[in-house]
Amino acid sequence: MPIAFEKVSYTYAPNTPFAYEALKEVDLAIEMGKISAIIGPTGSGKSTLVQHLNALLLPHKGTVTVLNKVINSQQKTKDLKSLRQHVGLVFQFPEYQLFEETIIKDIMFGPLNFKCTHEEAKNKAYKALSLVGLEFDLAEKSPLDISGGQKRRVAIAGILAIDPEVLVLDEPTAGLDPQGAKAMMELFVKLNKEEHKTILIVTHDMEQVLNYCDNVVVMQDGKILNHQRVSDYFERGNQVNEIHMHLPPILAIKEDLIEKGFKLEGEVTDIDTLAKSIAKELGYE
Amino acid sequence: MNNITLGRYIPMNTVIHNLDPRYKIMAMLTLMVAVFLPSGFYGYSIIACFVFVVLLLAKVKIQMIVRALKPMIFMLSFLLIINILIIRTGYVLFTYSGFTMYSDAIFQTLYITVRLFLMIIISTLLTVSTKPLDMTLGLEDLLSIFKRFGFPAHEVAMMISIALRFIPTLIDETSRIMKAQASRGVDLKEGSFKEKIMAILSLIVPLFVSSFQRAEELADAMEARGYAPSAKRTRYKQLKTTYKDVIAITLVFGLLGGIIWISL
Amino acid sequence: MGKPIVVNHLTFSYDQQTDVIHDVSFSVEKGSYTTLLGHNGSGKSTIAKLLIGLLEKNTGEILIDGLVLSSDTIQLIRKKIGIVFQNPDNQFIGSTVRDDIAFGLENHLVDPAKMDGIIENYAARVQMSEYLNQEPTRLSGGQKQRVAIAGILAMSPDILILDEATSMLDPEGKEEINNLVEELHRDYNMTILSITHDIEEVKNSDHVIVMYDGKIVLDGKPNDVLNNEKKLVSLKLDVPFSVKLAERLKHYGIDIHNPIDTEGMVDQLCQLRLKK
Repeated sequence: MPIAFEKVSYTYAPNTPFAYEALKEVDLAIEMGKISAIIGPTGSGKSTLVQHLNALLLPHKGTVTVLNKVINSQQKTKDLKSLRQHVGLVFQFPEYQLFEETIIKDIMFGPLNFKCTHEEAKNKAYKALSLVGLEFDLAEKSPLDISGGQKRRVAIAGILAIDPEVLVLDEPTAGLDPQGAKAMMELFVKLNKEEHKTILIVTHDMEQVLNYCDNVVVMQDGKILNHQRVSDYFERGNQVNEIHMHLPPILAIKEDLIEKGFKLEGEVTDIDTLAKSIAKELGYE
Repeated sequence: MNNITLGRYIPMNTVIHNLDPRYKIMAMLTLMVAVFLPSGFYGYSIIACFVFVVLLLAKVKIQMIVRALKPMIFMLSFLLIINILIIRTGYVLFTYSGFTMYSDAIFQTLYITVRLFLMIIISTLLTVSTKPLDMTLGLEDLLSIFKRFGFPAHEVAMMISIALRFIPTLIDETSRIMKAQASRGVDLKEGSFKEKIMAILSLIVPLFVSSFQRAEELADAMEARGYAPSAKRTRYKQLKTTYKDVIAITLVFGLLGGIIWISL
Repeated sequence: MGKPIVVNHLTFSYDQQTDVIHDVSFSVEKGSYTTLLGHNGSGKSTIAKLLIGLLEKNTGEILIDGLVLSSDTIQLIRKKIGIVFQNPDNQFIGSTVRDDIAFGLENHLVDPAKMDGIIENYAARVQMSEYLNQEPTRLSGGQKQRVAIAGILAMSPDILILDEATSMLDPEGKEEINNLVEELHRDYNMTILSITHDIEEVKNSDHVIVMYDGKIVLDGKPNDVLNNEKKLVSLKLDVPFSVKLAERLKHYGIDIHNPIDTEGMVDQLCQLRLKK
């Protein structure tokens, strides 16, 4: 059962002079078990969309269905709270949500809120700590004593410890250095492939979309502009620039070479195959 | 958040709105003094009429005043009951099986009620017709008289205006933190006492931590732009006295004079 | 006069134990666009704060326009340098765009009667004229950074330091600011020192300095400094795609000059194809 949005509309500050319609009759079905990217310019509604997934926001019109739970304007948030155990949402710059005395206690906070025993929560916390690549000897440190990149990982561990089936992340790699960003994305791939988690990533990084995601949802002005497999989306001649996103460098160079006369036969899927294809065409093989 | 609209600034283009904030602050203080003088029935009627006229000029809605006064009703009713039981002066109004109600009980309560209402209305008049920043400017100017005694008028004004600038930002940030923690299962309504404490901590600690960091970064930015609290600086916004301000303050002083005379 | 920025043997630590910056020396030529790269924690942001005296060095010397930075010269030096910080909200002091630009003018004792003219002029320069009376909560990150730049321009500094000024912005905001800075560099011949992660920005600069663990490890032209993939990876830096590609083409015997220039690389490949 996919995650489904049916004619969902949402307005901020309704009935006031500041009313702003962030989602306009959105129809969307997100494939379970895949990594989907959600892209679009600032203000296109991405943030509003994902906050419906764990009932932080209730649609004013229409219905959202997640993991067999139906969410519409008639629901009481109380009934939907349990959804948050199954849909983990990580906001942008999540470092600011750390507050506990020690790192391990902070990671345990989530599981404890969902009625785990102290033992269970501790185990989940340690498991999450190692998943994000942090050493166990950090466990007793204060979350304020570590670097920004480490704080980011602790915050994400805090959600992973809840062990949700669906993981939604808003720009998880913003501000991280290249190695940190790569490790983060590889973790998500691992969670998807090994634990079959459904992953949604809101991002501006087209290279990330190309390298790590299966599907891409394109938003603009509160509506869904496009929803395709990543491989189809980046097919030659497609309007990636319809929303002024920059082509990932590998595709940009490929385009450029082809425009200037190269054929580049054969499968060009990554930098190594591109290099091989160029070398072959130039007779250097 | 809309409950804080009590007395909040409402942008309009009235005579009162356009008065210089320094004069409005002085007028408000003067009127407060007048309210505290024992001027009797006539005195308070005059003050009330004056205030009523200002309310009209400032185009303040009756609902706003009613909302500002409503919270007091409960307390005043309570006071009335206590006074009826305790006060035994004045003439007898009414007797019933051993219990006597005296007139002064009513009058004292009325007296307090009128004063309280007038004070609330007068301060609401100020806040409703004056932008917070303009009030800060007015305060800064008025308080700078005390600079010679070491009072940091400018620094206080700067603190207030920065606080005002960041209120919406802090509200947004609180909302964000609440959502982030809600996503981790925080529920402020349910749970044991301990759980509720943790829930509140999970909101307050991040807010404090980020506020401290913000303060540090802000201080750096201010210094980098040449700010030094004790140093001399000019001010972009200048307040100018107009004839309307002079008339207004003269009227208010005149009123005070009259009230003083009546009270004697 | 001397060069706009000269740093000699600078050392700094917060706790007198571990050096955040160790024996750092570099200089920046007048009118140049210098980028300062380094992994998170390499000390690059600390350099910015040291240059305007927000932090006090332990040892070494800082010269701005020939003036030695000290408690006597600090106010004068802060007039010569404008700095844009990373967080657009935490450097926006005024309650409106106007008020924020005015803040710097007030600090420098500008005549209030002249302020409106100056504010309007520089707001126009950064394309924020329509937003003069807006509150910061209604502005995007890019817009707030533009206001920060307007406030700086109003003081006519010779040197502009950008401390990761675009890292919290979305791609649109990044582009806005990068374009604006480039314009300022061209039109006013400002000396620019940009602390950044953005490899695109580095490509367009004339001078790049790379830090690692508190020390300077590379200093030179982008072409010379950033051509080695292995080196860049060991320094925990982002490697430009074209450099990675050139590295792999080398294995096939194809030699690309100056791979940091993507267009140049494409041209070279086209030339090779025609020769075949």
